[in-house]
Amino acid sequence: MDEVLKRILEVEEEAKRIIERAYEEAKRIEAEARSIAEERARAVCYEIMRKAEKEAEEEIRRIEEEIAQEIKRMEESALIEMKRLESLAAKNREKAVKLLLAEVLRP
Amino acid sequence: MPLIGDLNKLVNTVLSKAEEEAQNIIAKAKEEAEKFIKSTVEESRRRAEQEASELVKRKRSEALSKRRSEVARARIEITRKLLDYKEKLIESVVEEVKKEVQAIVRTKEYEERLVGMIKEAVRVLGGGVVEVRLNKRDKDLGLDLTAIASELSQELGRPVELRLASEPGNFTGGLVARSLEAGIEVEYTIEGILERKWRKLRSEVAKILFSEH
Repeated sequence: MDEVLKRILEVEEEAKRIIERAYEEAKRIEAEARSIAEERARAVCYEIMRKAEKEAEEEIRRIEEEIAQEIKRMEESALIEMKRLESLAAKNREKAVKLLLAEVLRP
Repeated sequence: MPLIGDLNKLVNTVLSKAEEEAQNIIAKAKEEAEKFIKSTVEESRRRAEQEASELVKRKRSEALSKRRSEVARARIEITRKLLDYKEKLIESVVEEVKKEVQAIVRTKEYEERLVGMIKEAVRVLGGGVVEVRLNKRDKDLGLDLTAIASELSQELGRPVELRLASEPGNFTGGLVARSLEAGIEVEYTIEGILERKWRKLRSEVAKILFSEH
């Protein structure tokens, strides 16, 4: 009977060890999962932010091009206006000079 | 012997159950790990997407703000240049008049106008003893101040005496007259008249200069 009892206790110990090993393995799996999750999350985050930075850069470049175009348009309009004023002044200068001169010399 | 057989059976059952439980523990751990990885990555993705959206929004807003200020600055600068140019064209009229005046002051008509200006100045001063300052060229014209004074004296009904200042004036034409009795001075120099008329007529000249008709 002692032999039987001894064997049962041994088996119980072995079963206990099997369960303990399983819990240890579960802990290892959990730790590994944390590490993998952290790494994947970082990679996902990096990729999304990289795309966002690129998108923002493109948006900035587009807006800067618009700025340059708008300023160029304004400069071109100003140049046209200057030419228009110059042409009018050339046409009307004599009349304006006469008016002022007449006033200066008026008795 | 049957007892040994039952014992072996019991041992196998216990060990088999333990193995089964161990496998369940590991399988559950794996399943939890998968869920954990998935949820962590999803949470991270969600946060990153939100952060990324805010980043793009912020950068766009900064760029639009820069656009507004740069365009406004450029508009002010361009408008200033345009106004400067317009101003230059307007000022060219007065410069032209100055040139014309340089030629006119050498004509006979100017001499008549100068006499007119002397008379006007004396009228303003109300007669009396008046010192008339002319530039060097006009001084040398040899105007008959006595005759002018006599004419004015009759017109004003009081004595008029015109004295030519010894020092010539530094102006293109016209005169500076000073009542020696009242100590009042009137300025009828070409430069002064032009300046006064220019202040008065500047906008009208500009209107004529840039008229489409």
